[in-house]
Amino acid sequence: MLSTENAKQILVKTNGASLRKARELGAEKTIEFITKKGLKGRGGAGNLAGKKWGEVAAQPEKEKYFVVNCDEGEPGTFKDRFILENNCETFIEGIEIACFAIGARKAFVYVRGEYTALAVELEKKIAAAKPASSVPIEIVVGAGAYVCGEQTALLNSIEGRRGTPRLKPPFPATYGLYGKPTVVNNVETVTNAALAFRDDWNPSLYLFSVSGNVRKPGVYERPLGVKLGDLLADAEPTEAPKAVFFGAAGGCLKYDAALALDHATIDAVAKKQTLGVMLGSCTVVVVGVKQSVANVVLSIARFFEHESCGNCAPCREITGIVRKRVECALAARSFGSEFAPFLESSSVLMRTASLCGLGQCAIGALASAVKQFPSEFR
Amino acid sequence: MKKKPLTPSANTCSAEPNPADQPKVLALLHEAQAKDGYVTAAAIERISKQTGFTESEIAGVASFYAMFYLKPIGRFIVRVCASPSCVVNGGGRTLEWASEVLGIKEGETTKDGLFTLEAVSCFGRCETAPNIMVNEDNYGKMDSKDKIKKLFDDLKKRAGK
Repeated sequence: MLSTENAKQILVKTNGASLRKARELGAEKTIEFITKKGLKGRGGAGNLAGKKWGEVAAQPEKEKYFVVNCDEGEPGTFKDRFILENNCETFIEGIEIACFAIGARKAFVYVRGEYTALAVELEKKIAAAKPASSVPIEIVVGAGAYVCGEQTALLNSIEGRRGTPRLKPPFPATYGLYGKPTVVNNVETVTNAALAFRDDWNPSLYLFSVSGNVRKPGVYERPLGVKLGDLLADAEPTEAPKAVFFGAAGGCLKYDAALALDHATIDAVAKKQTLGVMLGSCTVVVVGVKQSVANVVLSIARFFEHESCGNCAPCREITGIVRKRVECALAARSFGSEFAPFLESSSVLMRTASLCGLGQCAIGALASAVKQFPSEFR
Repeated sequence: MKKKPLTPSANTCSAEPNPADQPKVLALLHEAQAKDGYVTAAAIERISKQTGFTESEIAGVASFYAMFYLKPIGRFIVRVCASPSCVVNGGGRTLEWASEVLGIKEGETTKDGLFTLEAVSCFGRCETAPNIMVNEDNYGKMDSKDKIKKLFDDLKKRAGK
């Protein structure tokens, strides 16, 4: 179990009060309320949750679905697990509010295969909460595929197909699960939907999964925009930090204590330095000065090769080629001068020709490390 | 009063059952694997009949996911995390050590059928990095060969060997 000492708001139990308030407001007003409160998606894209709900609610189709993405596969991320371990009740209430608001007939919670034990617990809690619930909630347990965190791949997976991403458009809001209008929300987003009905709810508090070379790894609830130095002061680095990785797809940045951890700032830094970097779901893996960034890059290269679903040829082929090159270069202790340009051009190709975020980000994330730590890739 | 979920026929014009309310392929595959140890050809045939997908589609799904196996595997599936948080916490050698202790390479199963060794992506237990997952249980701080050896010895004892 993760320590709960660094989080407060996300642990508050709403005890059914939020659902009652939503029912009093009515479905339409609930969506307006959630939009006005400024609840943004916590899965990485950061769109207003209320807008997404409204779009699906407005569809003429009678049958609609609400899907929760708990396929938390981004390396270094464990905040959804933290919520399931500590505040399942409020999470379930969030699902009920969302189903009520969009008029969903059924909800699905897609839990990654590695969290099977949590899924079993969740099922028990859902059964316990059942009398108050009007919408059935079904848990679908995945089986070890990172790409299923992409929402359309996740829908295919629930439908019993290979978990490959779909061509978009159509988007899930119009053609989602079983071809019906569907909202896909992250666990943290759904839980906050229930918390948003409290007067003291703060929309800017996010969960940061902090790990790597720190004495106190764990989930830290901090305002978006927290300075990296402040976050790490609490997590206590075990050695001077050299770099931070925002998961695997998020790429890495050189350690800068003054760096503000919010999506806009990281996007701006990425643009300015033309780096494939993004904050995503607020994952922070700290890499200390004694560690080799090249070794981390190798682990990420292996990760992307393994997790590429094989649908888009560039992703399927290039992730394997890159992994081999990094492996050989590390064994030979020489990357050669053409390695960085090779990575850059591969990154452009993958960004252009891949269907989903995995392929689009994979090589850019690796290139970001090579560009900032050239001495480790000679 | 407990509300009943809507029956499929109430929502659709056809008499076809609504697939959203039918058993899911993933659940059936998990169930089959838990029973037989891996996904057998007979299970694929059965799930195909149950769900209306062709056998090749079911086999395609089973082979897509890392946690389904189409041939017999060890009683203990040893999954060594190879992701950044584990790598920078001394996990760079965890796989090597596990491989040495078990005497098999990644992807192989020990002759006694007890252990199958795999290197896998992050399983979200980074606070105890480096991690090894055995079946559904996580073992954290696996940062020395001795600890890994002790873990496998304990598992062997548990299996009565």
